[in-house]
Amino acid sequence: MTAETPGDRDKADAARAAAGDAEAFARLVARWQDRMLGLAWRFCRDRTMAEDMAQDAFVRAFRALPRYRSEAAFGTWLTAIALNTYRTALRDRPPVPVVPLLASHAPASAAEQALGLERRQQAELVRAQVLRLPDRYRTAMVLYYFQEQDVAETARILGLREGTLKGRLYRGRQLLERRLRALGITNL
Amino acid sequence: MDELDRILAAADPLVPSAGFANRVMTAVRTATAEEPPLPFPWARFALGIAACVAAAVSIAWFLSSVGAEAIGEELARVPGADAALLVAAVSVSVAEAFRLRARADF
Repeated sequence: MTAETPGDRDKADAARAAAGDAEAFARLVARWQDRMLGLAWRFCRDRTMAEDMAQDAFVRAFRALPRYRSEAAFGTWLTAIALNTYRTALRDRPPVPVVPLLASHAPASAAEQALGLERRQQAELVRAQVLRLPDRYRTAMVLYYFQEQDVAETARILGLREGTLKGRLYRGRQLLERRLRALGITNL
Repeated sequence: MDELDRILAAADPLVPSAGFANRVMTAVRTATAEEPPLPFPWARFALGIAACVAAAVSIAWFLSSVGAEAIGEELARVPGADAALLVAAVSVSVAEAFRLRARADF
């Protein structure tokens, strides 16, 4: 007897949901909402927009379930749908201004606070600059880091060859570093 | 991993707001309750294409059997036929332009 993996559970629920079982789809939403919301958040840095986009992605996925082929991992398939949904939603919108972090998250001591705040502001600035990259670089970079720098999985989701993805990551990074240097950030 | 990698890879989790999953399921149920989009009318489309092909074949057969020159000669005998054809063509063109404009406005 073999243990049922999360992937098996996803595929079984996807099959049930495709047959009209809403409860099965609710289980998929419960298992994947954090990931889908996390990816949306990385693309827009706005909670309301991220939730709207993630919800739209789930609705599109539900409609597309009859076309899901279980040879592919459910997560790969769902992430590809989410990615297309987010790119479409963000196509004509300017990047959302980055909201400063809350002061309550700051470290205790004044020195650490100053250092920590500076680093976090720099990190937010870097992330905001990633969102201002051309779409092909932005999508590749956001997804690559979201997928914990897994080139093979990122390429599968994007439908690209690994070499093409690596090229986009390299060029995107070059462009990002140039823009950061122009903003006076030279310590990265 | 350098500093830029570290910043970009840093997990910055966003916890779903209360009721997010319920809202998703409500949206899914609403979307599935909506009428599906109308399918493209392939049968009518095929019939229309067949009718156009039949008309084109009929006209070609008619012209080849009667002769286009003969038709031109017959028309030339009718007084004012050129002008009448010209007026008819202009009228049809103007009417079609108005029809297309009305559809665009609608």
